[in-house]
Amino acid sequence: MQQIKSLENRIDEALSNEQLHTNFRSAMSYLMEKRRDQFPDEKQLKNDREISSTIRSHAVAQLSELLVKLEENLEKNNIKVHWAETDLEANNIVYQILKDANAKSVVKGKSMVTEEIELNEFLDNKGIEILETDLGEFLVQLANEKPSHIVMPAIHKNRKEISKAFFDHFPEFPYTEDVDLITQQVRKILRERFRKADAGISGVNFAVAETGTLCLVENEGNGRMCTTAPPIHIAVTGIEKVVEKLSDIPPLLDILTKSATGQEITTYFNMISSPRREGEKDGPKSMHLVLLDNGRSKIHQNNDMQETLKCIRCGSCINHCPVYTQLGGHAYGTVYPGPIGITLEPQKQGITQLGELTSLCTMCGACGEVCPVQIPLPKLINKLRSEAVEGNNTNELIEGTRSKRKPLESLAWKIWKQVYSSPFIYSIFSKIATKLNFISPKKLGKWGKYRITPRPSKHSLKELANQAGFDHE
Amino acid sequence: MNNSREIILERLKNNANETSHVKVNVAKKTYHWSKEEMIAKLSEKLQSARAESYVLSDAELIDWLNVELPKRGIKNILIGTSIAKQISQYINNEIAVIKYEESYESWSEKLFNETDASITTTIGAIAESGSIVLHPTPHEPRLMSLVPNIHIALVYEDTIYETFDQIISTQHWSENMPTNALLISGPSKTADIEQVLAYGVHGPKELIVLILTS
Repeated sequence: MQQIKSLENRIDEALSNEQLHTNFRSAMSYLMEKRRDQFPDEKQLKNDREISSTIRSHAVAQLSELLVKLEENLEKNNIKVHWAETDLEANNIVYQILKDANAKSVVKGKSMVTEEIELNEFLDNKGIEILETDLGEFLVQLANEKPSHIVMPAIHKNRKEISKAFFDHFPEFPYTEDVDLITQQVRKILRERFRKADAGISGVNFAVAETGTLCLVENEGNGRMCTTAPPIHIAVTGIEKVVEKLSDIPPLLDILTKSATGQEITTYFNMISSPRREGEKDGPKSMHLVLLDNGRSKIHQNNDMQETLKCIRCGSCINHCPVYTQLGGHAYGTVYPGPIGITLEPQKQGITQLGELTSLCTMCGACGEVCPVQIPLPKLINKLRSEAVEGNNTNELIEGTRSKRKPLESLAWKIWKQVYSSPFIYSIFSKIATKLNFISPKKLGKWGKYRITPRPSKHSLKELANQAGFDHE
Repeated sequence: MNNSREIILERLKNNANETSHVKVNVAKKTYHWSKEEMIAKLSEKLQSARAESYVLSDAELIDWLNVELPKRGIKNILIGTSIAKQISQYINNEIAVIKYEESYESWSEKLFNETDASITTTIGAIAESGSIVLHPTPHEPRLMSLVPNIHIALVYEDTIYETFDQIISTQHWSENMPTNALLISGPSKTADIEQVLAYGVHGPKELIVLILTS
C-alpha cells in the first residue's frame, strides 16, 4: 500500500484522535472478554492450542505436497486451479476469468487476501463493478476507506459516522442511527445485487487437500450468497491456508471462532467441494481457485520465520495488543495490522520499507499467549528487529537486513553493554548519574513525546538500600 | 501461468526443514451424552443463538405447521421435492406450497422476493455447538436454506451427534463429500456496527429447528 504520510505522522494522528481511541478501546475490551468466556478451562485451552498448532505446523511443513494434492482433488471436483506468484498476476487471473465470461458486476465476500492484492482497485480500473457485501466491509467501502481490523473491518467507526456515510449514498432511505434499521436497509440493497451479480468472489478460511474442499466461516450469510447465487465463483487464497485432512477441520474451526469473536461457532460454516453438478438446480456453474504466493514461499524457506505461515487469521493477537488498542489499524499503514501484521508485512515487503513497523511492540508477550496455533509472535518480532540492525546482509530470504542500523545508536548500545557488564564501571556510572541528575535532558526526542521524561534519582537504589540497613547482597 | 506453479512449488520444496513433520494423533472428544441430553443440549445452544427449537413427534409435525405458519404470517412455503408430497397433502390450504423444480435462474426473482419461508431436512445435528447440518441435493438445493426469510429445518432425533468430528467420521464424509456441506447455527447475524448484535442481515431472519422423535 502506498503511504503518503510517515509512520510517525500516522501515529500522531491516531494518538490525538479521542473518538478513535474510545472506539478501539471499547471494542478490544469487548472482544477480549468474549474470548475469555469461551475458554473457561486453562488446561483444555492449552490442549486445544497444542492440537491446532500441530495441525498447522504439519501442513506448513509439507506445503508443496499438500498444494499438489489440493490441486489434484479440486480439478477432479471441477474447480479450476490457478497459481499466482505476485499480486499483479492474481489480479490479472481474476480479471481474465471475468472478462472471458463478460462479467460486469461482481459481489464479494470478506477476504483479506483480496485486500492484500488490492483487487477492488484493479477491477475498478478495468471497468468492473465490485461490491463488498459483508456489512462492515460494505460500510468501509461506502466511506472510501480501508478495513482497520482483519475480522471487524468497520471497528474504527461509530454508528453516527456509519449512518452519515450510508445516507450520503442512499438518501432514498430515512436517516436513522438504529443498528437494526440500518442492517435491514443494507439487506434490501444487497439482496437485489446478489441476485443480479455476474460473479461472486470470496476468500478461503481452510482448503482441505484430502477432499478438494474450500471452507468459509461467517455469520451474515453474504459469503454463502456470493458463493452460491452468481453463475461464477472465484475464490482467492494464500497458499498457506491448506490443511491435509477433513478431520483437521473441527479443531481448527472450534479454536478459530472462539479466538476471533468469542463465539462457540459462527452462524454458517460453508464447505464447498464442487460447482453445480448435473441435475442440481443452483450453485455456481463454474468455480475457480486462485492460489496466491506473494512472498509466502520466501517466508517458508526461512526456518527462523516459517511459523508466520501457521496463522489462521483470527485476529486474536490484534485484539490483545496494547499498541494496536492505542493506535487502531490504520496507523500501521498495512493490510494486516497488529502483531501478525508487523511480523508478516516486513517479511513480504522488506525491512528497508517496513522494518520500522517492528517498533510497534512493547514485548509484553500477550499475542504469543493467546495465539490459537502457538505462533511465537514476540520471538519472531524480536528476530526481525535484530535482522534490521544486526542481520547478516547476505541473508537473501529477508530484504533489507541490517538496513536500519544507525552508527550512533549501535555505539550507544555498545557503551551500555560495557557499563552494565562491569560492576566497577557501573558503580562509577550510577554515582555520576545521580550526582549530575540536574543536567539530564528535559525531553527525550520522539520517545519522550507522549511520556513523562524520567530523571535519575538523587540517590541510587543501592545507596537507599544501604541507608535502610540492607546488606550488600 | 504454469510457470508460477513451478516457481512456487520449487521454492517450497527447497526447504529441508523436516522437524515439524511428525503429526501427533490426538484423543477425540466424547461426552457420552444420552439421547435426551443431546436433544436438551442442541435445543439450549440453538436458543442461545436466537434460533427456535421444538421437540415434536412425527405425527405432530403437520399440526404444528398448520397452527404455527399462519401465526407467523407465512403465506407460502418452499418445500423440497423429496418431502413436498408428504407435507403439501395435509397442509392448511391457505398456505401456498412452492416447489424448487426449475433451475434457480428461471425463478430467482420469485425466490428472493416472494418466498416467505422454507422447510428443509437435515442430515443431522451437532449437540455440542448447536448446529444443524445440511447436504443440499437436487431435491433440496443450496439456496433453500439461505434466501427465504424464515428457514424451518427438520432434525430426526437419532441423527444428533455430539461433535462435528463425530458426524464427519461416522457418516464417512471424506469418502464422499457433497458439492456443498453446511453447518447452520442460528439466524443470520452481524456485530459489525459498534458490536451491536443485529439479526437477519443477508440470510434468514429466523431459524426454526423441529426435532422429530419417532
